[in-house]
Amino acid sequence: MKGFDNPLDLPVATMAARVRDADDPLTASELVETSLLRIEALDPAIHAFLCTTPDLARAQAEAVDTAVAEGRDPGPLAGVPLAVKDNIAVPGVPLTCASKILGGYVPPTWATSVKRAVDAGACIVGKTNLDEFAMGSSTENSAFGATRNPFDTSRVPGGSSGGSAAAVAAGMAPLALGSDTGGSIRQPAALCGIVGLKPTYGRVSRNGLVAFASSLDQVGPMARSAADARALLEAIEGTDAADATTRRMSEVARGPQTGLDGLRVGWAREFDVRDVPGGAPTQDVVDGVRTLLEDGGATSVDLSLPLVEASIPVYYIVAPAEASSNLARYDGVRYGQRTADAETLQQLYARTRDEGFGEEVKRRILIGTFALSSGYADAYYKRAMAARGALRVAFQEAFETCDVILSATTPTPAFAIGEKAGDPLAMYLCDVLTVAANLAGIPAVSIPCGRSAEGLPVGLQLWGPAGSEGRLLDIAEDLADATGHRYLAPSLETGRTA
Amino acid sequence: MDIDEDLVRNVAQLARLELTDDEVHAIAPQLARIFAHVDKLQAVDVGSHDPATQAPIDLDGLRDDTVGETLDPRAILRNAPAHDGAFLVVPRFFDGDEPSAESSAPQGSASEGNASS
Amino acid sequence: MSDTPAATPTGRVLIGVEVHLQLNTKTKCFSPSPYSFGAEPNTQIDPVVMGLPGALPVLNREAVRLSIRTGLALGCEIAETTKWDRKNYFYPDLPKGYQISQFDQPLCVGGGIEIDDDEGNPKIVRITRAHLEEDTGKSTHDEGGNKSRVDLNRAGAPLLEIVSEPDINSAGEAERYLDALREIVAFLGTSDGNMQEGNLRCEPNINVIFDDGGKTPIVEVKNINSVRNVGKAIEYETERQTRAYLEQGQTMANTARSTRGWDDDRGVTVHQRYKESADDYRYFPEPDLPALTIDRASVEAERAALPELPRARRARYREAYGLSADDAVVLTGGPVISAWFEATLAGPAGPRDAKTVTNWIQGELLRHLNEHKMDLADVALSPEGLGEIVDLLAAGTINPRTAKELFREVVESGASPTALVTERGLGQVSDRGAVEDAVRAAMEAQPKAVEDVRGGNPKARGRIFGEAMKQLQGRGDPKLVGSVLDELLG
Repeated sequence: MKGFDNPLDLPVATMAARVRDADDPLTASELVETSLLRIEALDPAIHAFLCTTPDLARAQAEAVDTAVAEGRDPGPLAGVPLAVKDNIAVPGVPLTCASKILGGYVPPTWATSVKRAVDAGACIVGKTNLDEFAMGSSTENSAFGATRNPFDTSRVPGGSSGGSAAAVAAGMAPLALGSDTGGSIRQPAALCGIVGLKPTYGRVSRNGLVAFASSLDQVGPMARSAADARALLEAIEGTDAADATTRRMSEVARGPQTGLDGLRVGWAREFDVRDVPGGAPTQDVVDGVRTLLEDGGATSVDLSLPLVEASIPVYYIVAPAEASSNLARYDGVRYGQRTADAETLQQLYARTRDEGFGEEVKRRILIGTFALSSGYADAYYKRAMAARGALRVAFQEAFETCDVILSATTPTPAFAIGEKAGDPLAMYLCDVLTVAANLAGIPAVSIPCGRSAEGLPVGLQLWGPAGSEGRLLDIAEDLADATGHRYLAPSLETGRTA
Repeated sequence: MDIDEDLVRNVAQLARLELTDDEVHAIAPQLARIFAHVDKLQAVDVGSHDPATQAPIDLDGLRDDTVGETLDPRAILRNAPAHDGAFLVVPRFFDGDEPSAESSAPQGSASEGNASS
Repeated sequence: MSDTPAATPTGRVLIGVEVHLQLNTKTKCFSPSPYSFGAEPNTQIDPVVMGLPGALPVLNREAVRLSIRTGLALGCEIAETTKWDRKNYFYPDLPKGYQISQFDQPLCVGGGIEIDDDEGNPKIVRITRAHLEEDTGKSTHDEGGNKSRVDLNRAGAPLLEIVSEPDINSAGEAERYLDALREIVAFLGTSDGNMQEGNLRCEPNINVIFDDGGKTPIVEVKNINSVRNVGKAIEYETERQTRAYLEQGQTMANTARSTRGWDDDRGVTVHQRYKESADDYRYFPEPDLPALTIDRASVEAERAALPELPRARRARYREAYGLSADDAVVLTGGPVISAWFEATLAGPAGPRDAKTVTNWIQGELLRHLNEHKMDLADVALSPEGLGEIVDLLAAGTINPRTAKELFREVVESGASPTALVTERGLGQVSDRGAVEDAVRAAMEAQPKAVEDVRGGNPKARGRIFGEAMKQLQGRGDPKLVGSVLDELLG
């Protein structure tokens, strides 16, 4: 097994254990400095970060190192550099959502998820780029410029948590927080060759996560391995008095090593992407996993989930509907940007919002406003919610016959920057393999599963019943052992200079 | 569903977005394509499942009526783009009036408005 | 007199009332910041109230409990499952761009309030529903200037919106409906119900139907700040709509519903806007709040804890104690006075005389409160203290004059009247010998008065009586003094 030249490339548990060990020379400060140096060296080519937070990271690292020196335990993420998607609040650090409309806004309080990671010893090195208000699948819809895929900088990293995915994939930070409303953690994780998990709705507090679609949004971990993702999830999960939608759920700790023998794996025909343009190579990878699993003693269960075909229409009603309401607060009155050109209240609202929101955000606000408007709400919003209820039940029934459902995460690997920019519908259809998990409220994780012919990462997605993150991550670890597919660092021209 | 430019303009007014004519020209056909796809939903058998996305909670699950940790209001107000002392400031409007004379968009009722003026 | 058309149609006004009642919680409906009327602007805010990005609402249990308590007192059904919805509209005092309200599953449904109609007969005004929602902030405007200022202190305060059926048919009925509601919530303690401070707001929906089949479009009147002005606005609207109908006739039904504002200075309503189509609030279920199930045991516990309501209490006071209508109204004027009355009535040796207790409260006690601008809650005297005075008087231990003096002392000090009487020997002089001595001395001191009485002027008797009481330091048994005086005057 290959050694680790750089402590930042260690597994998170090892990294933190060494920091917590007073006799080990590795310190949180060293990890933070290494991370900041890598960002400085690599990020000009990637643009994963909207800002770095060196003062904050150093102060947090110092607190961790002091705790170790004084014999206190700084927590299971001691000294681990953490990148935070810039739709999650860190007090004192500008929160942009990659939108002009939040210009100048500095949140006064912590998002619960970040606070919990910091309380576990993580050190925040910066805020990462995203599609504006998390609306997009490429991180091109950022008011501050696109993020590039570390495996091929002419391509997108996926989105909307593209900055977090690229930061982890490029080795700039071992852990990142993303948010997933319709695939925004899993899709960029797949496109950047890392692990990204969308938890069960209600497992992680949304307090401090800027709402896109409240009934779909979840904060989740992005990491280089399932074990690392688990470490971050364990730190951030749990009920929160500040979020009424959080629920107590079963633990995510590693379960007994049962292996893949006897595992019941569901394969839904609606997730087969062989007939999707460009999807055949991806499906070959997935089919290879199926063969390998069957050879290893797993049982394959063929499923039909016809409602999955409706998940894009349902998602593109429900998410914009909630978004149109959630984004009404950006009106230039209490915070953020305000038009310089308003004599009337109507102008203040309409111009502030026209100037502040990007094209995709406006498009979704219009879709959502229309879907909720008088005369259309029954045909669109209410019908979509009914279909969503049916989809949730369909998954519940499916999980009576299998332990996990496997599929690709995306039909194709990373596409070129600008390739789909003019065609919103084509972009929306990219989400066909991910949105159903958000609609059903169930967990799903994307793990690296080899490379395409062009050398681009391919992701495999594991879907489980509500509350089954622990089990999903167990299976993900066992699968990585079985397939040998793990995170492999991209070869970046600037190299690992730290 | 036919989506034309007038509909886009009406919805934009409802959403308080001042779209330029160019934006309306560009967005109307996009929305038409998106809704043509979304309209596939009309053919789906949705059954009769509870549309609620979460299980209900009971009274024990609610918040106690105790004053929480208070944040200095100035920490919140310093984000305001315009203020007059401690007040937030907007262009003059009239209670009960619509912000836009040419629209019939919804307004706050006086129940939401100002009992003191 | 000019000729009138064959038949001038006769109108009947229909009024439905929307009341917004601010509930007496310590914190806001969906966040833990405090709310009290009159605080410095924008000091009672927090991330939720300000609608900061990422802030989430968490429902206040006490706001739900007070809503249930109020709903039960109004005879509403309490929903087994209820939920909140977003009502979307843009307004500067609405921080999130939506109000968290309830659309199709309100907390309370049905019920009614009994009032007297204009003839004094009882009448039920039905309640359609009552739902729990959050309040908005307040805006003030530059007169003639170009700015409006927004204060968000009130934003997020819990409001129970109580919607009545259009069962009200006059300004007087509307006023009595509001008075009854205010009285009820005062007894429940669920709201201060003060219109001036805005914790009870009322918007009447008014139209007039005519016996020729026509009607006027519904007008909602806003910005009314007292119960009396609700009545005035209704009177004004009834007249205005009737006049308009008689001018325009049945085509008026085609006119849109509208909102008008009450102009208190001019005593008129002023047109604000037409509701051309139904307002498009784009309601949808609030995804940040799970639906709420309300277990029946909690509802029954609230029901069991309801106090007797003022209207029922008034009827009982009249029936059980024989009080006059006016006395019953005064003694049910609020939960404190009512509790005071009942506590005073309950003597250690069985109920005291209700009429006597009533007279003491109505007379001495309320007069004292008025003179000193005090609340009943602030006086040192306890109901037991007043009860002792009543008992001492009834037993003949003290005379009425001593009783009043005693009252004036103990109302301030809270001392026990019985103890004071013993301590200071304030007991009434009922010894015949002592009384005769005093009366004789008085007659000697007032020879002119004696002469006048004997000369046929009975009015002078009072002067001798007063002198005799003076001789007895005011403690003489007035009956005995009177009879001895009459005897000696012959």
